[in-house]
This record gives sequence, structure tokens and C-alpha cells, in this order.
Amino acid sequence: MRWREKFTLVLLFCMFVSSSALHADVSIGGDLKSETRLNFDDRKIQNNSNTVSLKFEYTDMNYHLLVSPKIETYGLPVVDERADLQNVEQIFDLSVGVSEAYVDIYEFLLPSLDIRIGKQLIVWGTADKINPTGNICPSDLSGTLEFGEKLGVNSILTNLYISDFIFSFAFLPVFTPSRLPKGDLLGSLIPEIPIPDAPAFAETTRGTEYHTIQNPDNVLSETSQFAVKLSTFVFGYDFSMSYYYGRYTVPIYYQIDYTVDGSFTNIQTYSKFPKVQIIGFDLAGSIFNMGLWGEAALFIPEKVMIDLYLTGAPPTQIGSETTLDEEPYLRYVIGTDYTFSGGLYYNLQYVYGLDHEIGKDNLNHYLVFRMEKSYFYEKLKILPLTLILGVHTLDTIESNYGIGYIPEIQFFPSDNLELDLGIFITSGKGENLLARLDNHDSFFLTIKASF
Amino acid sequence: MKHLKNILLMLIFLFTAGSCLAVSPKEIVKKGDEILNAPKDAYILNTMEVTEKDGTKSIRESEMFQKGTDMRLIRFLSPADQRGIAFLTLPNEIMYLYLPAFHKIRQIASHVKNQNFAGTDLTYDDLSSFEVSKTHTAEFVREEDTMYVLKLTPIDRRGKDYEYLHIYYLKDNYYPVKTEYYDRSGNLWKILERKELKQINNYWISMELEVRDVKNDHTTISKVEKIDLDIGLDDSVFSKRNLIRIR
Repeated sequence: MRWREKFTLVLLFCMFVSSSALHADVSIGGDLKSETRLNFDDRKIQNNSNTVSLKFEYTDMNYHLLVSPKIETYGLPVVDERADLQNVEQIFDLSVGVSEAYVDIYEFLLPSLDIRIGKQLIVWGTADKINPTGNICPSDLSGTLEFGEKLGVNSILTNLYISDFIFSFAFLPVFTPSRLPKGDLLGSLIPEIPIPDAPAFAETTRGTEYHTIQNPDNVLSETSQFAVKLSTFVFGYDFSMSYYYGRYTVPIYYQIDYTVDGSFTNIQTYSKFPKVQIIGFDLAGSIFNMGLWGEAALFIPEKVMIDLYLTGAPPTQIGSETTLDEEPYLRYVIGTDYTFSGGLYYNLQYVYGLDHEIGKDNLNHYLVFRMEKSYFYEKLKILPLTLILGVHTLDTIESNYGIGYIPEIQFFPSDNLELDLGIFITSGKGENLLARLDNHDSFFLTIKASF
Repeated sequence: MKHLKNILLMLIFLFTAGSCLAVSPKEIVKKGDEILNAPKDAYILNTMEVTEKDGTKSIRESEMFQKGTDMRLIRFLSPADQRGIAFLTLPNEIMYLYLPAFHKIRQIASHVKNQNFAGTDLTYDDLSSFEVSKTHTAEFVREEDTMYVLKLTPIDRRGKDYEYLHIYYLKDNYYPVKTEYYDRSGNLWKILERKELKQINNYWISMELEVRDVKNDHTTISKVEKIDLDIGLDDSVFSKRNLIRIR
């Protein structure tokens, strides 16, 4: 653990022990989550993490304070040489952070105005977990198929309530990128860089790879983002329209340098977070007693060219092409749910485009179906049929498709205790998320205890 | 001749039974609704004890804001994994659920109405129905010493897992002290009892609500720990803004 992390822990502990002593109204809660994921195919442990999330809250009539520290151990030792055994942080890959820390001020200046300042999760959109209009917070893609997980961002959020209208404004002074999965799961989201089919690379194999990220310049005009949303309720439906000005939070390549070193081709990539404007629309309500929701987001990206170089003295440009076109594209979700008599619940969503699919040519169509049934007063929940079907286009369905099947059993033996057991099987062809996860069929067990 | 005699006896019985009722079934149900919803508004702090089939007990604490006959906000205060879950009912059967874990307010369709709320014996329908007189037809079943027993059948079956109800109304004030739920096969499924009636500010209030699932031997007892009546709750309390507001 780095000194900064130790310091943060001690500081947090002192802050809240002292504040708890001073204010009996400080509530302390949280949960411990232990996750194990075992790969069927290679019998490797993909994940063995333990996460402690704490939540300290103080509430007054006019304000609410929340601090939520998070301590996470990935669980897989990173030991390559003997010296690593002398470093506890190599043996226990530990991260300490704060997932949220904010203050709500109610009726700020105006009786109808609430403001929230600090690190917070802002989730916009009406769809289930996959929200094309929810772009303020970057995605936490570390769970790969745990859609909808977001990272908290430092921001100011204001909500103005006038009659049936809610006007929301969010300002983020600092840019925060998405979190990507560890290990070889990264390849499921970011495809492998191809070696060009040129004589210079003939008879070479893939060598080492270096990936450099170009962050936005640390000036407000480059790092800041903002979003506005107008929500209302008409004819039994919730509607909202939104606009976001900011950046993609998953990086895009803008330069690749290839170096031929003997029989190897080494690769150096440069990526950046392009700017984007997003116009969003969503609705939620019901029709014929069924839940119904929809979301659409028009992405207007900045153009990004990718330049390919063969290093040398001087370097030779071997290619240049558009990696992100400025042409606007639409991502959307339409969903419905229903509970049958007897408690059988289904949820069906048609999704076009996921968070990591950037640019009009990279979007895929997904059909996500989930069925669940609770027993014994929600002590036991069985999800026998969670299916994801993905295709790029109907024309290429034979060469580019994916299927995911995730049956699950959730058991709640007592209040505050949850066990989740399941398997994750995918199959497919081509360049899509499910096909890339083909070799990651796994068994997972999650235990969560709240306090 | 015997057949005619039977018809005559039946007519006499029906005439007598009808004349015994000072008020019609419809009026009884309406008066029952009125007495249940008599306070202009209310704030109620509840403790719910849920008893499983094997005798295991768990406790939930919740607070409820209610105004008129069509606005209610319920928020769980404990246990830890349910703290902050809140449910809002608005006119025209508009319902919202706030799940803190998802940081989202979700409008929920009426198909969830027959589902149990947070592992208790209360359904979303129990929590959102205020006036059975508007949603059910009523017919007389029998008269007991102190109560009228009526059969109530839902006009719209959507979101109702039961076929009909038997509601027991006190004769003296029409308070509905007991409701029996019968399933589609006509078997007794669930019993809801309002106990410990108290007069507070001239309103009759039940301080204990017991819901027993007869089929599954599962019980929820909800006790009023604190109650404030006619406190002048503003309509804005029953809003999405307040749904996410931690108190």
C-alpha cells in the first residue's frame, strides 16, 4: 500500500470516528463483497476479489453528507521475481479509494433548487443497466458483462424543480476515464492491433507492445464537461431530453508505430479521448400493464485519424485512415418487462451499441432477455434464462455473431446476506464482445454481506 | 306447490336480510374507506416483524407519508441492505420505486402490484390501494354480532392475484378490521387484520397490522411506533425529489 493510500485510510477513519462521536446522527453502513470467478476453459482463476465499501452519512434538514470509501483487493498475487515477495502490495493487490464523497444542499438559494457537490454517481436514462444517454460518469468496465457499473466523478449537479418539470445541470471540471478489465479480459473490449500485411513485416511475429494514453491538457477548457437535462411527466410517461458535451471515456488510437526488431514486430500505440456531443431522449411508462422504456442518444464525435508508422531513421508513414468518423450516429435501447401471475418476471431489451463501441461502424445489435422467479418470499431467486444475442448486421450474421448464456441462482439466507452463484457461457464468431469472450466461460460465486 | 313454497321462503329471507342492513354493501365499503382515510395527512414510523415458516424473525423499519386517498411515500430505514429503498404512489396508479444501489428512480408498471414488497407479506397493491369502494364491487355475505362481512370483487383484475376478498367491517364505525384474500380456486390465501384500534385526534387508527399468508405460513406484523396526523404535508413531499432525499 502506498503511503498516500495509508494516509487516506487513516484520515478517513479518524474523520468518521471523530464525527461519529460528535454527531450521534452519523450513520455508518456498508458491505463486504467477495467475488470468485473460475474459467472453465483454462481452469484459471479470473477473479478473486474482496471489496469493502463503507458509507458514512450525516443528514440535517437542509443538507446531507455522504462519504463512501472503498477498499478493494484483486486477490491474485503479482509476483514475478523473488524481490516481489518482499512487497506486500505485490502479494495483495490492494486499492483504496472513495467511490463517492459529496454534500447535498437542499433548497439552495431557491426553495425549488437542490445542489450536490463532490464525487458522485450520476446515472441518467430509463433503460435497464445499459443507458446510451447516461454519459456523465465513465463506465466501470472491469466486470466486462456487468453492464451499467459506473465510476463516481467530481462534479456539481443542480436540480431545479418547477411544477412537473425538472431541469438538471451537471458540470465536471476534471475528466475521468473509464476503468478497463484486468488481465486478458481486456482483449474482449479492445481488439488486438493487427500487424500490417506488408513486405516489411513478412516473417515477423508479434513482439512487445506499449500503449501510451494522451490525457486532455490540464486546462479547464480541455478537461471540463457539462450536461443538461429537462425531464417531465406527460400522459403517464416520464420523458426527458438531454445534452452532453464532453469526451469518450474509452481511448481511441490515433497513432501506431511498428518497429521491426529481428524476427519480431514491436508495437507502440498512442490513444486519446476524443471530444463528443450527445443529444439524448428517453421515456418510461407502461402499456397494457407491461413496463416500457426507451432511450436514444445521437453521438456527434470529433473526427480522429489514425496514422501508421514504420519506425526508423527517418520513420516511414505506411498508412493513414479514419478511426472515428465525425458523422453522427445513434445508439438506442427499447425495453419491456412484465410479471406474470405467480411471480414469473421477464425483462427484454433490444440494444444498439454498448459504451465501448465507439463510432457508427463499430455498433452491434443485442437482444438481452432475462427471466427470473422468486421463491420463499424472495429468499431464493432463480434466473434460468439470461440470454444475450449479438450481431453486427444481418448481412454478416454468419461471420459475426455472439451468444451469451448466464443462468444464476441468488440466495438470501437472511437479511443483509446475499449469495449469487452462476455460470457464464459465450460463443460466437467475428469481432464482437461475446465472440471475444469465447474462451472465458466461467463459474462465478459472489457473497455480499451488508451492515 | 312445494317448489312455490321454497321460492316464497327465499324471497322472505332476502327481504328480511336486506331490511336488516341499515346501509347497503356499497355504502359500508365507502364508509370503511372514509374512516381509513379520514386524516388529511399522516406521518407514520413503523416496525415490521417478518416471521418465516420455520419461526425465523427479521425486523424492518420504515416511514410512511400519506396524504388524501391517492398519495403515499414509504421508505425503508432498515435493515442495511434495504435502507433507502422507497416507494411512491401518486394519483392514476402512477408508482415509482427508488433503489439506492442503482442510483435511479424507476416508474413501475402495475404488473408488479401482486408482488410482495421487500420480502414482507404486503404487496405493492396493498401499499397503493386506498379506496376499495372505487376498485371493487361489493355484496353482502353475512352479519355477525359486531361486524358486517362483505365480499369484494375487483372490477379490474390486472395486478390482482386474488379472486375476491371478504372484508369484515365493524358495525359501530364501519372500520374494516379484517380482510381475507381468496385465491383463484376460492381457497383462503391471506388474512390481513387491523388490530389495536385507537382514537387519535378523533380518528380511528389501527396501531398494529398483521398479514398472514395462510398457504405459506408466513406472517408480517407492522406496528406503529410513532404517528403524526394532520401535520399539513405539502404535495411536494410526494415527489421524485423527495423519494431520493435521505432523512
